[in-house]
Amino acid sequence: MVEVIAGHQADSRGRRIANTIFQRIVANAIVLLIISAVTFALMNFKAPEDLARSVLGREVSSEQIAAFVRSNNLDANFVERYLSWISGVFAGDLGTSLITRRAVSAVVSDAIGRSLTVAMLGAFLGVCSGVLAGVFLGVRVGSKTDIRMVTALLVIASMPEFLIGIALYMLFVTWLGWFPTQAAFAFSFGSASERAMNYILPAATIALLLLPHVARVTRVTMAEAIDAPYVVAAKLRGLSQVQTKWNYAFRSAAASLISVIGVNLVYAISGVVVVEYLFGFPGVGSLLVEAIGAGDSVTVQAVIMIFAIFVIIINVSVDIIIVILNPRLRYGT
Amino acid sequence: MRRILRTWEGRIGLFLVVGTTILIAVGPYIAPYSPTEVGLDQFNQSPNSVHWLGTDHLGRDVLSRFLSGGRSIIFIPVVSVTLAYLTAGLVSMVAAYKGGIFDLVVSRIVELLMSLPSLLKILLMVAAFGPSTGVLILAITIANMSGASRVVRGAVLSQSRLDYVKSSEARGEGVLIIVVQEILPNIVGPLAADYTLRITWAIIALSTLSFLGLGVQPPQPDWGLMIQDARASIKAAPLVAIVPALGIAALSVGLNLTADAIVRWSEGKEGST
Repeated sequence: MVEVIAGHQADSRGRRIANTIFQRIVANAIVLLIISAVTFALMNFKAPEDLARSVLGREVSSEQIAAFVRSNNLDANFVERYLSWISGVFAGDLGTSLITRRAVSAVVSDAIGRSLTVAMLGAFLGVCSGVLAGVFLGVRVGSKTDIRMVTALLVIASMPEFLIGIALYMLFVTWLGWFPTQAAFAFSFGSASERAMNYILPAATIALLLLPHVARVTRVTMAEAIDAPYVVAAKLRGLSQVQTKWNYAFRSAAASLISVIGVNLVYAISGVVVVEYLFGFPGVGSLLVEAIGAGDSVTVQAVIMIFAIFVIIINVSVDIIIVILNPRLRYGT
Repeated sequence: MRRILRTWEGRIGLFLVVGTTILIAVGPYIAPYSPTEVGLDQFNQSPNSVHWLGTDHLGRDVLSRFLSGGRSIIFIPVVSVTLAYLTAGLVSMVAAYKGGIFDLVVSRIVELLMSLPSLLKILLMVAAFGPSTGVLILAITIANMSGASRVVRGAVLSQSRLDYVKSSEARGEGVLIIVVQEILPNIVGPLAADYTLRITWAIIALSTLSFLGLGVQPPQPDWGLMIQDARASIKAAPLVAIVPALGIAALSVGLNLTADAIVRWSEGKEGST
């Protein structure tokens, strides 16, 4: 009898989790749609002639403007253009660049692999080192090492991303000359190992961006968790220090840690833009900056949508992981 | 204020902030040369008796550029964050206090705005409207509205069930009066901390934008812009990049420390109630 009841409970628990997850996905999908509409509206509210002029410059004849407008389909109705763009995005076609006339999807797919690699490398390094630093400090709260390191972390955390990048740049590129000055060069002409070298500094910068925040949260939750009653009980029962630390103290901190990591990953996405531009790394970030500078609204739309999609993916994943980790949340919306 | 000064963070933080602010305010008046005057025959000089910090790649005096370049960095962020608090803050205060459908709708809109990272929102707006001062102010304001809204909402909610509010309601005070005269003075602590932090963030965002070439435009002297310009000749004239970098770092670190100190102070206050 008990097994049957327990089975039923497990079933409905599973269904509740699935329900919650489903709701989150739908909510986020709606947000994504709204973002696409706003992005498109912002990039296309100008009259087609103005769009043409910002690309072609001021000293252009009206025939050139008209030709530009026609060839880029800028004279269609606004809603039509939005719908055709959005359906294109779903199909994988991101439009044609106003400047280079190449398919944006081709340019983006090259760049995105590189950006993702840098971002993930940096995120992995940053989160790992942050967690390690946080655990290290958490068990030593109040000590001299703790205070000194916390100050150092605070200083790093308050600096703008490009300053951290510039510091690394000046140290490793200008002074020591370990890395080339413009990463893009290696991507067009260099060997695989030269290309690999170019990932290191951008990834390190991103890691440095994440490290202080992750370390700070880990440190606090670790310090609190260590004093929690169930941890003391585990120690009393005779579990070793290490076991106590990792099995009990750390697990309870994991949920809040995951959500902080999620927030910081989203923040790191914007950091990628700056870092790529700084190191001349040919990824999606520098693509965005160039496109904005050149007035290429099609590329800008596409890249922003891609960033938005990644942000949403991260948010949904974090939501799901938290729901799974924390049994208390499984019964709410 | 005195309690802030008691913590070492507050002291260093305030020292940095006030010092840099004085530098920024007074700087343009004591600059020996015009920050935009070009002198192509004397580019990339190291520090000498004529130009105390040397010259940049266009022969402009680095010291003068540094002294004049802090203006935009303070003006735009302060204006934007203040605007964000005035608009979003006020709306959220009323919404949080009244509750009901108004609050629900406002919260949903705020959640929506929060989904994209702020830098992307700002980039989008600069891409659409161009990098003029007005656009920058608007963009930073909008980027801060949802955050300010959240903080204000949390603070108001923590007060709205308390007795002094209820007694005001019983007296028949209007919503706006209750919110502004009764609740507001009691939530100044956390609001001040958040306000300072947001200004810090806005300063960082603005100098990042200028660094990307999408913020303050040349030939205006701006610290972020100076750093970007300096990159090409960084080996020959490293000071051109280092000096404004130190300026930005001093300001951001100082503001962060001060914000930390304010948080400690307001927490201490709440603890004693």
